[in-house]
Amino acid sequence: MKKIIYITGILIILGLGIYAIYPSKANTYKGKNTYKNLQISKEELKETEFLQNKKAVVYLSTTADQDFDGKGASYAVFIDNHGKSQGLQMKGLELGSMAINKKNILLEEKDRVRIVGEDYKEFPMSKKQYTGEITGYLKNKNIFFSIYNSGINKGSYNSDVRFGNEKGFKTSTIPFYIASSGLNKTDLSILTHDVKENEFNLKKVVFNKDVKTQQVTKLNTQKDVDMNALSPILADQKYYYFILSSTLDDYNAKVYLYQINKINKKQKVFKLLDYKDMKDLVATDPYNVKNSAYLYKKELYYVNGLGDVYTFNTSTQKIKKKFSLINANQSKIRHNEETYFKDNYLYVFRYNEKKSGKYYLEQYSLDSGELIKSTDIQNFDKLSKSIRGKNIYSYDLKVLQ
Amino acid sequence: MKMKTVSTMALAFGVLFGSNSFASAAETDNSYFDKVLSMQPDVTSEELLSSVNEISINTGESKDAIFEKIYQELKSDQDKGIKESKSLKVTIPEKGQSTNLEGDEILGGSGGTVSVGSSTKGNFYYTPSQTAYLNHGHVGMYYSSTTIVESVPSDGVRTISTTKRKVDSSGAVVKSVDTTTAKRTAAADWAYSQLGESYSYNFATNRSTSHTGAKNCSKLIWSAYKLKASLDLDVDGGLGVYPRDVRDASATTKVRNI
Repeated sequence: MKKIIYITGILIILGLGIYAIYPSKANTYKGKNTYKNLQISKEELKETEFLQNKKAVVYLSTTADQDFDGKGASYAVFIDNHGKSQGLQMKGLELGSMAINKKNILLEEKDRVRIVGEDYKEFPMSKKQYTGEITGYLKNKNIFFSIYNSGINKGSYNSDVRFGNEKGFKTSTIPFYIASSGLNKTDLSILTHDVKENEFNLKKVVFNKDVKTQQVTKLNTQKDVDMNALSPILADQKYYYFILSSTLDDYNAKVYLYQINKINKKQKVFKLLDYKDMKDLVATDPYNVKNSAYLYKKELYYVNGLGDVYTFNTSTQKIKKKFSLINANQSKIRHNEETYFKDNYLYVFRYNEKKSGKYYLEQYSLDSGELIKSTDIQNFDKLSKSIRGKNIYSYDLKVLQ
Repeated sequence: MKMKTVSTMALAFGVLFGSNSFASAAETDNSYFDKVLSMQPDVTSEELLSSVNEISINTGESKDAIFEKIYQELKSDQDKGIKESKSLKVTIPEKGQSTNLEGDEILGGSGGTVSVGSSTKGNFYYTPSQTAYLNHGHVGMYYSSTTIVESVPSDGVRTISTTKRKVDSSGAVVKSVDTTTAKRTAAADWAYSQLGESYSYNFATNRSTSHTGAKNCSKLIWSAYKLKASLDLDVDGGLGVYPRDVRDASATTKVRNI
């Protein structure tokens, strides 16, 4: 009996001690306790109908420099049809993105890929990746793929590739630094950049047993002018299109649309925008250069960071401002804003300090420019701040339905 | 038996509630060597010892004195980081007002994000960031007006587009180095030539480590200007050059807030 009292006494003191020492830490570790109910469980993730009530997914990650302790983190935040958010926390992958097909979504992280949806699978990857470039699904091959900006290895540049499906994933390497890329149905293109020579080349990427590139053409750019890619590579039956900017100084920049004939490789350059005496030139950069442009009904749409949507008519080559996002923020400071074109709509993931959930998803008609729908998002703000001691930034938005 | 119970309970109390004072006592007994290692957990004791040995041979100073100097410099940088993170202001766009954020809020990403944006070749950017376990900050250099060359813990020395490189919007700046365009260009070219080199967690003695081979973010920029422009971009000298040392170096001028 005395022994029981003795042990009970010790346990009580230990319990009190732990409570006295650790409560402040427990309260501030937002990711572990306060937001536990916002995390997607493994069981939920593996349900075949997991995606059925999901409207959209936002991908966020720490930057590569924050992975000093191997604890860089990323999130796939799934937003359901009622605007409720739930997050799947993964390892970090700066500039990571997601790919979708009719049944599944590909999620990637530093050392793993997952296929989530009707056929849940996950594959550990032996080589870690830290900087993403493009992710997609090739319907004709039934494969998901992801290409990474992996860096120099043995004197040459490596952009590593992961590709596969529910049966397994393989890896390969493309020996180029990639400035921009784009998947147009079954045609994957990359704009490679030799930074030292300041030379751009348009190439096709072909997936067979291995991954190979085919030269399309070298871009006619001036060697002494630095260019930045502001859009993905788009393509219709006749041409490739992409947008590059040339910054003249801290206040002035020109934005060019490149059009390259698929057959004769002739290049045409159109001045899309001319920013003069801008107080905040960085504010003009799109929310996400990977999701900033789209082809619809013979018009190329481009949404810039000021919320203005411009069109280039591929038949008449006329350029005009078609519409603007309502009350678009004119500041360069972002709060995970993202854009995504799908069918005849432009979706915009936005932030407003005054809203209770702070985030909302807008849907604009490309035909009329009108705002069709706006959905308030709950709990995204909490999830985006839940990684203690690290900052996560948005890198992709996909609208699923 | 009673006495045994009471004394065991007292011991448990002591272990738990006295742990802070025990830790403090232990801390004061630790050598500066242990303290430095604990502040840079990814630096091996061999690496640190070897570096300090070399400094000791070159300067004639005792190893103990060198370890103390390293510790004081690390502590000073840490304190500076904490002070800065507490005083940072952020602007809430919808309100158009500035507000103070606490350190933890800043590290949780409350202040918004921004692309580093374009700047002149040879300029560099600084952003407050947890690098190598402490809030050392981070610096990266403009290889061209649209491409950053920087050393990051995972990749080592890499390039990234200025539109794709996001940083926290509070406290980040672009700075230029006060030298000729030719020297700025040469420094940026040298930094680019280091692409693929791995990352070094050793900030403490990085002024005396080799210019080639593994390096951290501040060492990359410091070496580039030391070798190509004979400039010492380290505000306080000492044994280590930290990102804030580069930011605050006298031969630099602020271009813009990011």
